[in-house]
Amino acid sequence: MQTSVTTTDNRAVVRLQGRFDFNSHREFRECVDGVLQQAAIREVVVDLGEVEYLDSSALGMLLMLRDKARGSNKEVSLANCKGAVKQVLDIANFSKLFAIS
Amino acid sequence: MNILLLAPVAGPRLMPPLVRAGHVVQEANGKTNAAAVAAADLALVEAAAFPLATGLSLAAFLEQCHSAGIACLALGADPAVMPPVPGFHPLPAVPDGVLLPLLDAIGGQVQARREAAAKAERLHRLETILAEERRVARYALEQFISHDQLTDPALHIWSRAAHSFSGDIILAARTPANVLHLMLIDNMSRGTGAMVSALPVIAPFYRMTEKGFSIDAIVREANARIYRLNPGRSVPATLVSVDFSDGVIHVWNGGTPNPVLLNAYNDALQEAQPRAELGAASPENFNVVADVWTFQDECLLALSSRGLMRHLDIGSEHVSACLSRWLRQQGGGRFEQLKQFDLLDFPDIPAEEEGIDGEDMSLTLVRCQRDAKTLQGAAATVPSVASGGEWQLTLRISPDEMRSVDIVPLLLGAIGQFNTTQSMTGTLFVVLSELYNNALDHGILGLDSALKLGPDGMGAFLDERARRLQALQKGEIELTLNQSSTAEGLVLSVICIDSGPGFNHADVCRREPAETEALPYGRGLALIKSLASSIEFNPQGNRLHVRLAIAPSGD
Repeated sequence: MQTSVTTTDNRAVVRLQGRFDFNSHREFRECVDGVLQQAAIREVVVDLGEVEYLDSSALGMLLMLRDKARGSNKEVSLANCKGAVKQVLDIANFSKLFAIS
Repeated sequence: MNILLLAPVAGPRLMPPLVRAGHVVQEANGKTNAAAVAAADLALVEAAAFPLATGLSLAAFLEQCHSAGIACLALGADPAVMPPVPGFHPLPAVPDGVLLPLLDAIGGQVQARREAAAKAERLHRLETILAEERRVARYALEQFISHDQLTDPALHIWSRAAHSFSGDIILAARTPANVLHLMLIDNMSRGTGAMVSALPVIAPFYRMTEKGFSIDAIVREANARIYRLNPGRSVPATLVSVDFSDGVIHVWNGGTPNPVLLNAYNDALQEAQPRAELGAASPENFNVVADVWTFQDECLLALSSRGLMRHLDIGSEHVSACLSRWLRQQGGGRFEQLKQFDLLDFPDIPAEEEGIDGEDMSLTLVRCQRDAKTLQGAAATVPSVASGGEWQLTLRISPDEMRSVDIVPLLLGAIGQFNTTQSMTGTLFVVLSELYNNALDHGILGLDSALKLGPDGMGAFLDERARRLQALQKGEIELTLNQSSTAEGLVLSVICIDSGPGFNHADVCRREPAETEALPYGRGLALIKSLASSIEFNPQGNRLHVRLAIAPSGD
């Protein structure tokens, strides 16, 4: 999986590409830790538009991001969810846990 | 210096001083043959006291010297009466005090010429060996390269070798799901050097593509092989996959000029950023993640070698801008038109560039155009099966494979070989990933998901997973895939058995979703249940049978 971050004012968009599973943990953690360390950021958007697949490990990583973000008073939302990715998020009831677009 | 002396009747006056000066002197006579002449560095004729006493005529002697390329000095000769033969130099009579330094000077020149000739001979021998080495390397490599695949209609390749054997090696193959895989190996070395660099990656490329592995798995394997087999000798290479059905391109750029995606107007849409070269880092520290691009309309994917980019002298200009500009110059740049152009149409590329400084140059274009059938069927919500065959596949995975093989892509590839369409791939990935990872993590490695709790629980869990997997000696996971035709349509059964002790699945299945809602684990089984038509555990809990509806009856 590949990650990239775009920051605008107090909003950071974390763009993920490829297969999002437990193999992606290191890349994901390094990316989001960098974002969460920026005090000016208030909102973190995880763009899943180019994620091909994700599994339950990825769901766990998103939840840990949410918990960490709350600890530093930031909000996390998920964007561009479609196809198999949206299906998995729906099954896991992530709409109750995240703002999803 | 070896001197051949033609002396007068009165005797060879010069013999003693020449010998004293360190020269090897042989007196020429009627028995002197061409070989003896050729062995000399210089011929001297003591013409001061004709007639000559050797039984060898002056004319015959001069002819022999001329044929052997030996300069001949005639001392004390009258140029007016000497025959005008090339290489024959009549000189006035000179005292020994002048002659000997003159011969020393000539000797220096002869020595320099002799050394130059030896070097030329050695160079010639080396070139012969090098040419033979390249010929053998080329032959050996060609045994491994599938040339049929390079004629793929979506591909066009220009390649120009600086020598008979190009260090730019291009491989192409299709996966069972018809995804095009392409690899450019951009060798700086040639001959056996290029072969040694390329061989460890060629076989995995074809074998893993044939089995449907993704390019990140191929990159991982290629890096591990080069790192292990050729330590300290990294290989610049790019791997690309183009899924014409879904309009998805994966690009992993390991140190070649950045691959570029261009639209129909040759505007650069994407440019892949470089990673480390294959073999440059240990498997655990190597970044195999590919860039992912998508396309709807027709695009061109361009892969160029460093030799080409150096010739274009792009300086600080991006590869994309450079290629974009050149392709625009080719009259619109549609794929079929571009195929008519030659690589030599690039500016500043000489027609011939032999020698050690020559550059191998290549440019590969991929026409990225979505399959018409896929576009027509994109709105369909019900998956279809191209071939409604019934088949079964069983895979037994031992600890060695658990450590080294990326099982889920392997299984997806296997399913693809039986013609299941890509539209089920997302569901299959989730089901297979959850089944296999649950069997491995909990059944075989005995990991507790509660390790995932805490600020870096996932990291701690994965570290412990890696440690236990490395130490694993025993254990087996058996996966059986069975596709069958039933009254309800095609059904894919997946049975996963692990050699672990099992678990209390009834307890896990009874959990309410709210219990695990905020936990970073505990969703795998729920995902499988939601996506499958049915699931069934054995009492022990180490065998799970999942059924998935692939296509309704009548499709």
